[in-house]
Amino acid sequence: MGLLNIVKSSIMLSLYFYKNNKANFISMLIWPYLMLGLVVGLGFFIGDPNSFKRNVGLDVNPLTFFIASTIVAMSSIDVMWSIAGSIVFYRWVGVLEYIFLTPHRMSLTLILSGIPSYILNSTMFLLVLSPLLLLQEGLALGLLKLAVIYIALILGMLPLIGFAVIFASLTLITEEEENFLQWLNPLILLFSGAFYPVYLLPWWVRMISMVLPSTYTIELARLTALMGSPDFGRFTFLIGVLFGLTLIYNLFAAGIVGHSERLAMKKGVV
Amino acid sequence: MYTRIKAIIWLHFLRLWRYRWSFLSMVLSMVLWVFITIMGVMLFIPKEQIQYAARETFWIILAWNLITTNTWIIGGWMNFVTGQGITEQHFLCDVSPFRLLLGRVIPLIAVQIGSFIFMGLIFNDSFHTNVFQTQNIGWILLGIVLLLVSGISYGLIIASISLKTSISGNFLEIFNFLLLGIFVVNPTNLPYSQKILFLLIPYTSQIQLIRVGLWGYTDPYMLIYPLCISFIQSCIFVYMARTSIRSAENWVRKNGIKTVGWW
Repeated sequence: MGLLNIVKSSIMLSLYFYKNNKANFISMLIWPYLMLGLVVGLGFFIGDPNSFKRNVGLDVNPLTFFIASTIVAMSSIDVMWSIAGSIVFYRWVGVLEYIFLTPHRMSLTLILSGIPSYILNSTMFLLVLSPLLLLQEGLALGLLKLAVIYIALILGMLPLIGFAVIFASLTLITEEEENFLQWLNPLILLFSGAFYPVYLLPWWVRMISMVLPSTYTIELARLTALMGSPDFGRFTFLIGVLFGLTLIYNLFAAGIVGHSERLAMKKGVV
Repeated sequence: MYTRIKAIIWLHFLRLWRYRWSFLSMVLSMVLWVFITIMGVMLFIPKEQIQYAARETFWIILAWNLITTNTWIIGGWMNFVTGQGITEQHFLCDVSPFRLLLGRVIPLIAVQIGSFIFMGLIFNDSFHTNVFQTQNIGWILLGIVLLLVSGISYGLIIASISLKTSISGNFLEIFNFLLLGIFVVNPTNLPYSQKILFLLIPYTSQIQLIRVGLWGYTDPYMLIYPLCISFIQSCIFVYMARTSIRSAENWVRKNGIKTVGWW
């Protein structure tokens, strides 16, 4: 089985999953609005947008701010679950051993099958929330901001793959029912400033946030929330940081994953 | 019958101990999800009102969390049980799989207590307030117990629906999400005629009992009405759960299981 076939089968799996689980597909479309509605709706109900601008210290549109945050947050969770989280699922349904027995390395199979699903899902999250953004910002500026968010999503995926593979390796050698992604994902989002800007968090959180790829992805996407067009200088700086982190995390992941695969083969994976 | 119930209770305590790290993971994840959401909401609050808002929000979120957790810890577990292939086994041994699900109340309460303490400490520290300070803890506890009864019943209803329709708990949980928007509305500020109508919405009367326990009350009817309505609502929920479970069991015996796993 060629590597291209894994990608192709992952695309088909995602498409057929949507087709055969229509209720889940619909829930996937509604979910970003629920997430956004929860934060913005509650915020507007018990507070006001002027206080938001005062607290954030920037002239930003709260709705665009949270649209960008929601899309990136949901997509980041998606890449973590589709690569690292799938180990637990495969273990549950008893196919993890078979994945080990396939000709390609397990980590490669996980990555190649995770990428198409991430791209499809994140595109869908973006498309689902795009009408709201276009209504808010107008057609021309709205499209520009959507493009910036999409670039952030695609570039943000690259270091996140390495990051997710590291956690896949750890999941492989632990034997728990749930996996630590359950609490790690919200923790990563908290430290990345997903719904609360990093610069308002304590110094020690800011230190941790500096090494998380999602911090820069969220910041890149959130440039769209600033009134007017996104700042090009900041835009290129954040892209540069994301490329750097891609290199670091993927090299580190390549080192650690082989070790955990060998350990799992030796001990058994269930 | 007693032996079967004992076995189910023993199973859940054993699992709780065996998967203790998963249990801690559940507590931590719940607290963190609530916390990041609330951090976002708090950005909209003027600095001078943040302590009051934090106390009110803490209890509302706690109550909402109780209902939502029921959905996935009890309702969503049906997918796991079916994925493991043990639903049929339970039918064959003449043990209702819903009894097995009901045993999930043990980890549910453990997770909730853990989250409550942890979340309260984080709120107190972050917003410089004391969320545990209440006017009458009795009303709060009563509200929580009635909320638990309704929530567990709702979880069982979801589990029974998911056996028949292949619609996952994930989809049905949307109902819970929509409820949060309603929970933040304080009925005390509504015109009198609308207050009663509002309290008829599921769970709102239980939330009102919690509010009474938190802030006290000036209008005695805003205690009596929620009290009566929440009792009646909880009984209706239990009745609906029983009916839905029986119908699902009969359906499965005739047609087999339809649940499609969604984790």
